[in-house]
Amino acid sequence: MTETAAAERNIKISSSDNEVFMVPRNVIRLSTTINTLLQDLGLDEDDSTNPEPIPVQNVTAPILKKVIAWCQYHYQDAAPTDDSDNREKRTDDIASWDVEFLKVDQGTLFELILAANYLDIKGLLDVTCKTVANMIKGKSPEEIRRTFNIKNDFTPEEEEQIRKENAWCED
Amino acid sequence: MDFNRSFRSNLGSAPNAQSQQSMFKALRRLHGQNLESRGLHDMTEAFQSFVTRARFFSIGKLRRTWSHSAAEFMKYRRLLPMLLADGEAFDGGETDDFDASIAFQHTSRDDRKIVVSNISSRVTQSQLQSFFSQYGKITSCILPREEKKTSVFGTLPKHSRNCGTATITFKKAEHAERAKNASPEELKFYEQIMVVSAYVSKKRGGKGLVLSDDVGSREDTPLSRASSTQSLASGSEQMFNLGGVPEKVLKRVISFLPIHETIRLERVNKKFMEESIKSWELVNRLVLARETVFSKQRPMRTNHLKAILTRAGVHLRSLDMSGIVHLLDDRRALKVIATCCPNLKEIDISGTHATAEALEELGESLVHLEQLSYRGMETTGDKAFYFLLKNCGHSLKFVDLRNSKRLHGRSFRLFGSQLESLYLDGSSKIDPMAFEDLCTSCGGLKELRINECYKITDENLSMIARRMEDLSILTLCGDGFKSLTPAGLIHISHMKNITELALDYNTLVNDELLVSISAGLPFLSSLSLANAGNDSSITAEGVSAIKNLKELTQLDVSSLAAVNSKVMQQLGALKKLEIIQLRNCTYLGDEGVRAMLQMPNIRHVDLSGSILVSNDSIQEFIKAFPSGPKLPPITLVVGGTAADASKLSVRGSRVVVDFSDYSTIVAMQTSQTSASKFAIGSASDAEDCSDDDFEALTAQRSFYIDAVCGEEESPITDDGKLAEWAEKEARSLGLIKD
Repeated sequence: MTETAAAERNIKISSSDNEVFMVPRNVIRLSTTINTLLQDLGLDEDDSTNPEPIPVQNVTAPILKKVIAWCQYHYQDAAPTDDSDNREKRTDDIASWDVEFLKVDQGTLFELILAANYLDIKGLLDVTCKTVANMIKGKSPEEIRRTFNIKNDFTPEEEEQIRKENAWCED
Repeated sequence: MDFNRSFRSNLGSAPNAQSQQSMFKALRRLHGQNLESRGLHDMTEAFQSFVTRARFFSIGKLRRTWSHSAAEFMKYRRLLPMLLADGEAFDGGETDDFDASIAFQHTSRDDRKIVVSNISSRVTQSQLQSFFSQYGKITSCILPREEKKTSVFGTLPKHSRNCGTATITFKKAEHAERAKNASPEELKFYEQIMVVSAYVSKKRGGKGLVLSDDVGSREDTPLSRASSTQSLASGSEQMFNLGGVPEKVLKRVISFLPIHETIRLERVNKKFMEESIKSWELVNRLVLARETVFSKQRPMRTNHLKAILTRAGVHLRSLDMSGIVHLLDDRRALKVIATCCPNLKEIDISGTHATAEALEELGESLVHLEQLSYRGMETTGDKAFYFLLKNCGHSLKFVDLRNSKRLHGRSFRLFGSQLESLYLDGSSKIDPMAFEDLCTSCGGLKELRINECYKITDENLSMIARRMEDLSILTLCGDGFKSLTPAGLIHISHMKNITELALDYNTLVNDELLVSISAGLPFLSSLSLANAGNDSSITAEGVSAIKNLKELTQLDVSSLAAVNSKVMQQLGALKKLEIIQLRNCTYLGDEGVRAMLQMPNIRHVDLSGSILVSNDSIQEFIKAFPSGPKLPPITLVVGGTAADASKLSVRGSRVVVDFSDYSTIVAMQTSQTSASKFAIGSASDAEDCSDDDFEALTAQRSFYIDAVCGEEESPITDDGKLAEWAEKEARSLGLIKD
């Protein structure tokens, strides 16, 4: 079996609600979780189409569809650089396609992040996290607690002490 | 009345008590009038009738109250929108034009603004402005450039990169609206789809990042705002469950936040604190100049640096401290870096002055250092450089010491064979001995930028040609090479592997050199000769020889008198040429432009200031490159030519016509100081004050003309003095020619 044929072979994956998707091998490569799974199980050498779909338990069909759409757009991108490369604190470098892609309601965005995290798709995880970072940006800790309903488990004294130490970061 | 009080305090320091007295009276009148007119509710009317009264009763005195009443007016102006927006939509006819326009501007200023991001780094401010003018008239367009201190000859790419985000103000809100609603396809410019989002100022409750002094680089995607408003509006089941995301995800989200917000989040709760601190693992490059928390109002101090680096330090590979406003205790700051950041590979400490000991200590602790930038250190002595490089010099690959005026170069023997790039532009004290040291210790050098290193000798160049076999980039711009001769320059043609050569403003360039370069440098892909030589040393023969450089992709022959249509026809043989700069080529005619139709790969042609070029050839050029899928756009700059914008048709063509004239700006700068004389090399300088500023200049001009003719509202009373002052101002702005 040639290299290209292997790359174009379709892989079956099924969502948590048992919908089956056919995804080309080199597209699903972006998901480190599935990629490792395929390699570890030796399914790459198996040239018969695998009969059993790979279950992706935590992801529903609509979300999985969206994730696959993202992968299909991005699978030809340059291989993601490893973590030791220049990772900066900036969110203004989201590609315009991704900006459009992520114009979804917050519930979907949340699900997408979980899916990207579970499937370990680094590129998707990065853009979704950047999008969330943009949502947080400019909010004070109080606003964040209020907006996202987060419980403050510091005692007032503790919080005051942290606030004092980092006073220059407060507006 | 607090303005009375502030006014009194002014009184004390005023020299002319009598006219101050009358000014005081005038202001009292304003105040009285204000009370009469039932306070602020009718302020516009009150102000108007004050002006009328003042005109009648104290025209001479009004002039002196100018600054104060203006300040008062500014105060009231802020209230106007509130008063006027009462209930129904604002109608400009309610008040007189002056008030209305200001009030209107104030209410809708933000609506008229848009933020454009994801802009191609090649786009210039004026191009962006002309692109967006398809949606309506633009009053301002700000596209900040990435802060990079270049020498006057663009050592780095000719177009300094813009920061990718611009703020554009339209004349009308509906134009901004139209731009906001443009489809992504419409917003494709230089193969990048720009993103247009609404501008929300902090005053109006915008959540976006707001910079201290320029709004241009605010990072704000439409998404962020859309989502945050949504989250407030929508029910809890729709809300983003930030508390529920896995820790790993939270850590990643926090890692993308600006430094001060990352640290501020530590007090949200315990989970946030942990993830905020862990998030620094994911950050290995810090560019402090990008952090908006530090500004002129709030400069960075040593304790800030310490707070940041104790968290981030161990994970950092790259730290860029250049361009920040700081009040660092330099010695302690360097010590903090040395102790907190042991793994740095790249560091830029430009702007941090320090003693030799502190620098030595830094160099000693950074054992992995490969890239070092210490630019623009005009007062740092040679000794400090020596101690900085003493311990790390041998392992460096990239060193940038541009514009270090007191650098002689004794430290250069500390470099090793690892060194690949060395930027020394503008460090004019570097002596011949230093170049000899370079030749002996860094044989592996690939990139050497020595613009304005005026002490280099013929022997040095000869030695460079012999010892640095891999040298592929050499820049030698400037008009003050006293120890070089045209014969010495010929050594360049022996540097076989050169791919990029810049000799802008180098007076020693002549035909002989051009001929021998064209014969001897087969790999040359970029050649810049703007303003080189003089009209007699470079002739058509020399420029024509360039046609032999078959690999050439970039060529700059701006301001060379020898460039005429015949020469250009010969240069038509350069099939690989992509970028050609022909600014101020006053002998270049239409036939020459037609010659460029034969260049299949052309992407950028700059004809600004080439006065003989007319519509005929430009139209032909536009027609010759029809648009098509996957074909890149071509930029054609035609400002200052005989081209007439209204008669050009660009339909169906991939040529983008830019009507800016970059050449006149160069001329203006030439007349200013000798230092900025070579501005053509760094197109950035020229472009920064290109025609975008023209409107501002026009406004200023009309202001000065008003000042001269109307003499109203000026703080100077003496008419003679006023005219003198106005003329001086106008002259310094270049509005009046001698």
